[in-house]
Amino acid sequence: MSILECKNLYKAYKSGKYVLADMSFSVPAGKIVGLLGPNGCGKSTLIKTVAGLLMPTKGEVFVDGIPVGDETKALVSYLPERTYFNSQMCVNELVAYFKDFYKDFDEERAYQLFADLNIDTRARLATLSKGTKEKVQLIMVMSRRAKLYLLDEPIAGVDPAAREYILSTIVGNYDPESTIMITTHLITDVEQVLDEFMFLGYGGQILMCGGADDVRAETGKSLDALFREVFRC
Amino acid sequence: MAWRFNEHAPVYLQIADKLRGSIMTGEFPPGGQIPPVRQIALAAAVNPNTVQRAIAELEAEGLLYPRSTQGCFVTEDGEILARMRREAAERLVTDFVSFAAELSITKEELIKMIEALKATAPAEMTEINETTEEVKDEHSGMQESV
Amino acid sequence: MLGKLLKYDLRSVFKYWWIAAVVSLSLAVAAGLLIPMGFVENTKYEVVQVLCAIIAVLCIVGMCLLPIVGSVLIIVRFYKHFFTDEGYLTFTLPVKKHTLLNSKLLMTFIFQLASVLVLVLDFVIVYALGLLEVFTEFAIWNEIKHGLDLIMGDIVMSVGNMWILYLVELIIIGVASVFVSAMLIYLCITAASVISKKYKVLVAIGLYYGANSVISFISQFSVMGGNYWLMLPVLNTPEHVNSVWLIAAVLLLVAGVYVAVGAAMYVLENYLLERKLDLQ
Repeated sequence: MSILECKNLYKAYKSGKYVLADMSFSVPAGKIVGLLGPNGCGKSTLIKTVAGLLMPTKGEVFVDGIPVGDETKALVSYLPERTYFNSQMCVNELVAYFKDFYKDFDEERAYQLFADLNIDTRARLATLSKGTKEKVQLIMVMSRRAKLYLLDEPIAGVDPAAREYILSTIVGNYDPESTIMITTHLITDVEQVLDEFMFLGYGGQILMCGGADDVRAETGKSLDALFREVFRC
Repeated sequence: MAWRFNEHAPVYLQIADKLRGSIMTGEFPPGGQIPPVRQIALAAAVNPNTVQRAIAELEAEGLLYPRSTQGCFVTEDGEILARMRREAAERLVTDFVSFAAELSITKEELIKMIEALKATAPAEMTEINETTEEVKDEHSGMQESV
Repeated sequence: MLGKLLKYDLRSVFKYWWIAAVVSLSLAVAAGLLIPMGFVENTKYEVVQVLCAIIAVLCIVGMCLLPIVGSVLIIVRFYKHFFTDEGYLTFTLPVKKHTLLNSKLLMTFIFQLASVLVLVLDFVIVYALGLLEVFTEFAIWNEIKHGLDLIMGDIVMSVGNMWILYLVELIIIGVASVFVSAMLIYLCITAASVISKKYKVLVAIGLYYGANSVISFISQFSVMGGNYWLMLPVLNTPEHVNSVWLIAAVLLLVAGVYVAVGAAMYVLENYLLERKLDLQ
């Protein structure tokens, strides 16, 4: 049974232009998938649709066989590009909030990761630096034992050391029963972490997909180089 | 620190190389256990499935063998280990010599320089001797073809 | 889930509301203390007396602002929780949209009620501290009490036990009108977010203003406006018994309209949240 399945998914914005057009794909469990494409090609739109924040114009999306809706939100852990918590809360309160609403939230793991990073859990979120806020958000999202993790640009706008930390957290969270979907345009950093990739082009089509490591064997190029070639301006 | 990989070879093969290297240096001694996939993946910041593939590669070569649930162990078969060393040395020398040839460095210069190294690092004698012999063979082979 | 959502909603608004409540109570105390100084005949310093009187009045005005402050806090909470970046977290929680809405509505009621109760307390404080003296001086209290008794007596005489029915209907109208006015604001905010991503706040204000204009236009012609010409037949009916029932019927109609409008607004809001929400 696939963790994520899209069937003829279309998403149009009010202008009538299709951001996603006739997308169909299926992702099994235990994979780390990279959703790659230039800015504005619809990566975030796809992620938000799977997360249940956007309604498809046409077509269907299933998470673990269930159509996307309020039930699938319990199975999906979503990390948006922007910070999405109430800055007036402190870290402890945010943990309590997640614990209240998500049965699969692993409090111990979250506190362990906060301790690893020397983050003061009594600090109000508004007082933390941007990088720390992003780490806090990542820790919260990855501390859930979800079936599907959707990480929208998790390493953009973050310094190289933090990037390494984030990627190793992602690897450390690997679970053969769940799947992680990452959107990014920083491909060199993320390449070695991916099992599979999907190139998303303008007009919402999947231009190419396959095993991330196979690209090198087949073309002699890295995924980053291939991307540059495919999306040459 | 995440491991760095070059752009051209598949990541799993590069991991296999690194693991082979660790076996050769004795970090993973014959009969010893290598770290679990998860640990390697975490240290390298690489997808665990890719690490798994690298290990499968080494298992196919006979360098590693799985022992039920306990994990992966390095073979104690002397022949396999010796062959691995030979192949690694051959690869090393081939690259070394062809690069030197590109720079128009002669065989005599090469051998002189290696002998000079010998003097300063007696501990590595055996390996360097092997390398010198292989350089001589290689170089004469190349000269013949030229 | 509703309980949990409500807990966080209440906590979030209470954090600021309690300050406003304390301020309101303090102003009540201040007014209460200043009134005797301001209004009681004091021959010595007229300027001080006038000043006290003015400040006392200002304090009373200030303390009555509590429900307005409460409303602002509630609306801000609604907007922030749903339609800012926080919305990404809110709408990925595994709760149904109508549960989210219900939590907001309950929170609205609770804080409006709380504000009213504090306001009542305010007036009791003002009375106890200030007017008690004034009243005992002028013996107004007795006159007021006498007046109230007369009015109640009149009411009971004219409508008998119907006043209970009237009271129930008026309570329904009261609750429903609070519901409707809150829902109107929420609908405007939600609709604005659906219509325009960039100018949510401006569009919301525009919609609200527009909606209010439409409502006041319509109510010229309807029962809700309590228009005179509708009440005319009621007032002119000679038979005493019929008009009593007529008033009850009219109140029932008004209550019904409010409830129906409120229900329709709830359904519309739910629909917008379910189907049309496209966070940018």
